Amino acid sequence: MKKAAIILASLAVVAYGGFRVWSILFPGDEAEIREMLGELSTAATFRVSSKPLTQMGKAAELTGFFTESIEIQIKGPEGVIRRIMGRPALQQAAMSAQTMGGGFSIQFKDIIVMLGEQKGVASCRMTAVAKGAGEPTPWVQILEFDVQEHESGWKVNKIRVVEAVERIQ
Amino acid sequence: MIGRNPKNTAIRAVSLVIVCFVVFRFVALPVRVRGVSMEPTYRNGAVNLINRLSFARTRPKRGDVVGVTFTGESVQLLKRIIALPGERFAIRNGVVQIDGEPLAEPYTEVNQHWTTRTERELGPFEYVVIGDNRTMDMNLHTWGVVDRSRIVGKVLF
Repeated sequence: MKKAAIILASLAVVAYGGFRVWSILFPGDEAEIREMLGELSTAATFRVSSKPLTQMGKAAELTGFFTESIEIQIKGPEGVIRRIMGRPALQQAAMSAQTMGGGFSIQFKDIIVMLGEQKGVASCRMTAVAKGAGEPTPWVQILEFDVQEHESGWKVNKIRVVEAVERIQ
Repeated sequence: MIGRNPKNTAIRAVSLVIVCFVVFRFVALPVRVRGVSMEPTYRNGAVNLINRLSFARTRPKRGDVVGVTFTGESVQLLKRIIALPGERFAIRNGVVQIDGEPLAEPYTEVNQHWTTRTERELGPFEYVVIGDNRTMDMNLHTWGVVDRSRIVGKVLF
């Protein structure tokens, strides 16, 4: 009885280990999208820099996560909606953001990935927690990303804000 | 906790870890308040626990301070329930109106700039949640209608 339990437990451990190794070697679309979003949040986090080359490098790294036709619609802490259309506008916004304030950090939490019926498209909903240096409280918003698979990997095509609660006018 | 018998000590330590895991994962969810929207009742930085079982047998009541999820439980809104399913809700010159009657709210101050243009009748699973800090600009304050499924539980203290 004891021997059987040990064998069963060992088999369970081996099966779990095999599954983990398989997941790492052959990640599915969802795992790849989650990894891309993690890298995107790291790229969007920056410290203030006065060196133009550093700013350009960081901005270029960030825009690499987006398609050419990226559409971003973000609601800022003051409730003002801001729209960014296309990679050049995003790069410009990323560069100017680095010259203002003392830095910026963003994290994506509780990510829900919904793979599309069509291969190579998906949408993700997440809680974005962003904070500018010196700001007492973080800015929290639900964001929805439309992502597309390209040769170089998954890229973000659209970002829009989803209201956390339904406002009564 | 630490005894002479290492085996018993190990069993006690493991049991304690399991109990803590179960309690803080499935019963009392630890939260830290960030922001000023629930002041003066809950200050920025305060630590609290949300009882996930508080609405297992009962429905949320008016006045309950509850955790409301965004897309998951890592980040939550801490708000007070003001209006219940089936009620008609509006704010007139800072005073909450439930079914056309003013609601007494001793936990907050009246801010006459808070006014809704319309009255909203809530659905069978809808609640209106608002923070206690009405001195804030109405447009900077996250408040409104949430579905029952997004209410995690009631704060413990």
